[in-house]
Amino acid sequence: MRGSFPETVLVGAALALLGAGAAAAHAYLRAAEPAEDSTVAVAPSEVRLVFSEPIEVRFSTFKVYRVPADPGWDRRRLNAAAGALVSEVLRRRGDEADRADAGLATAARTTTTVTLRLRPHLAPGAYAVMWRVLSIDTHVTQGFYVFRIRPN
Amino acid sequence: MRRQLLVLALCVPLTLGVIAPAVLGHQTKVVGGKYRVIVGFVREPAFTDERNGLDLIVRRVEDNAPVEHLERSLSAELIAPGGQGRRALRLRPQFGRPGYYTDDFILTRPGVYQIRVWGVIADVRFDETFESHEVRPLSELRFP
Repeated sequence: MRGSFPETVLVGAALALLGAGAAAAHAYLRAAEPAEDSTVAVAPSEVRLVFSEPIEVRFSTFKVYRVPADPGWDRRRLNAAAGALVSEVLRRRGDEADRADAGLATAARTTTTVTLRLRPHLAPGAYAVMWRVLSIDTHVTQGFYVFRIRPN
Repeated sequence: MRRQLLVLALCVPLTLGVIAPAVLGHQTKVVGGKYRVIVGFVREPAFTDERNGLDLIVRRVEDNAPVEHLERSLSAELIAPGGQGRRALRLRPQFGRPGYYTDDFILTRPGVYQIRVWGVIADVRFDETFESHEVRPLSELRFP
């Protein structure tokens, strides 16, 4: 009754392909503070993210990184650089020293609202807030946005 | 013999599942010599009056690797046959498909649609317009 390894792999892969795209409800970002694409005059002490569905905090990842960007870049160019940065660092482990955040302030195991502490006195510039979250309906989604610190 | 048939039967949908989305009715352009931008509809062949969506795929030319996280640096719009109307699309990543982006719509007129995609991928800025295959009226399928 037991199938051989290649047959089992093929059956699994075929089922995975048939099931792809069937997923429906996922956790998407509803609101954020600092807001998406915003510019703030004073370095914030935390980032607050509100998702459309409850997420499993322990199985989710949140990071803030400074985006290596030219001050003259437009929003699109800045988001392109931030997107490339997300591809590079979101799944990286042991990168706490490189990050602009100081970890999660949220203690809840499941929640729609997550707060991340930021390192004190962040330098002016652009910052990418990124996440990879597992919603309680077991779907994984990821995303990012950029905010700038520019003192008056 | 029976085992070989089983393997063959499983390989056919696997092959179609992997290759078909990238080739069936999609148009491809290379931008900046570095990125392959592939555009079509999620459901092809496309018919009017059924839920459909953009199927935008971005891959690196160098190694065919998918390019993720472009939803904030690219824009797209759908142009009706004959230029009779434009709809701005809001790109989002396709669930579980790295490098794939989409937005939902229902095509209401038969004909050839255009899809304009523009923005920035890394240091490449581009503005390209793609053409769909002909969208056919859903009435062709109605029976009786």
